[in-house]
Amino acid sequence: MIATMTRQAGPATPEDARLLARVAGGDRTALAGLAERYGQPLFAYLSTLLGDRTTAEEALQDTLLAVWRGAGAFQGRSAVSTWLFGIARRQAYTRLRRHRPELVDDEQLADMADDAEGPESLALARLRADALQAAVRRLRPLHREVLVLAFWQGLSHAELAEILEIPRGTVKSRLSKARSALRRLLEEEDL
Amino acid sequence: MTAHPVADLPAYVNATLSPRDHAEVSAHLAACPTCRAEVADWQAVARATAALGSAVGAPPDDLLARVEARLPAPAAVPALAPPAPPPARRPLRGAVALVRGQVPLIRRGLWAASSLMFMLGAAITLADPTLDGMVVLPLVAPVVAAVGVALVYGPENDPGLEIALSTPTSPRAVLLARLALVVGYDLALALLANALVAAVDPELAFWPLVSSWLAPMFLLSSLSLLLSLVVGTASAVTVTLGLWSLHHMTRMTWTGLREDGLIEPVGWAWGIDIAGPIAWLLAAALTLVAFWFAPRREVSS
Repeated sequence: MIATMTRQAGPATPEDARLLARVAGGDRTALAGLAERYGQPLFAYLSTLLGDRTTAEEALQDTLLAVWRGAGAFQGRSAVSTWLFGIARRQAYTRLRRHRPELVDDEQLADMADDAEGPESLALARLRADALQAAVRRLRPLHREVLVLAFWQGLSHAELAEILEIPRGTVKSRLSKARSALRRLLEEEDL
Repeated sequence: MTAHPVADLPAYVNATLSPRDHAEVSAHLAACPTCRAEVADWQAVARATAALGSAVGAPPDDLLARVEARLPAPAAVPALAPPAPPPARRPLRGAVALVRGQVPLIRRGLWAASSLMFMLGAAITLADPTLDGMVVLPLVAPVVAAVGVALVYGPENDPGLEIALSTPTSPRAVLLARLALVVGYDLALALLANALVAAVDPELAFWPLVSSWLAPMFLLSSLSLLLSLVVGTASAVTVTLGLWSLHHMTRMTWTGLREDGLIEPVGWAWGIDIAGPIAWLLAAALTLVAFWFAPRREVSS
């Protein structure tokens, strides 16, 4: 009865670490290998986060450049995939801050308990899919990205915590806040 | 489980809970309509988010090329992935394009220097009637070709090589194309000089003259190629020139002894007839080893 999500990036493998080690040694074909494996998931993440393909392309280019330069610094403490998403995220936020600083630098706001929130009566499951999608698009970046990473990339809470650089407890509350924000957007629409 | 596992429901929906937690949540859901509704909500959110993600599609095809264009030139030429099969639809056109593409990548001075050497060789032979074409051309042709071949390949000779090697064209094909160019060019020049000398000197026939330098040319070139791939261009040139000089010095020193039967006949060096079939076999073997070695060269450098 429960549909489960699948990972877009596929499971991290020792092959990833080998590719990254070769990138550190200056091997361009290894960089192409990583781009082959992760280009699409990273691009989807960047596009949904930035809301614009062109900016996402730039961010992905800069991500791959940063991977090229920083591959030697990878110490294997996290999976290569999480490391890559972390780099992409920093590239994305550099761009977001440039354009809409007020929407980004409010991490506390994104995780704050919303006292005004009443009983969560609006059943999202009954809404039209396109209305829901449009609302996800309008979420603040911090909320949109946690949903995209969890439900499009299919990442675990542990991976989300590493990429978003927050404790696991905060991952759970941010997911919950993201859904509340989604409800509010849709309720406002109804009024 | 008495408390509602609300905080775990997103992880339950994206199937990243541990098997134990997943089973616990499943058990709870079976008995809790409230949490089932929550799961249905999260699933709706998950579907909407996944739909957004799928709508993005793939990044543009040229994105990696754009990144590579921005990469700093690496100090070392990268290791190579197994070469992708080249587009097979028009093999001939592809080969022609590959060979033509190498022209600007070969040191420009090489063309002029080779022509100059052959012109000098022919001029000296023609100007001095005491000099035999059988002496000058076999001296010049192998060494010019060998030095040219040593300069064909490798990062010290071609700053654009790593770009060429990042394409699906295999390093062996690139090497072959360049060899074909340089050896073909030197061969044409040698034949031209050969024809000129043979036309002027009535005692010299065209083909015997050719056979005096052709095999040594290929032998010395194949040796030079292999050495340039294994130990580098500078060492290859040094060793090749050194061997060639030694060979001719011993011949010159011993010329006076020829009548005594102590000198090896022309074309013999260290027991090998460098103008005979053994030389061809040796040249072929050296070339094969060089081709086998070519991709490793990139790793070792």
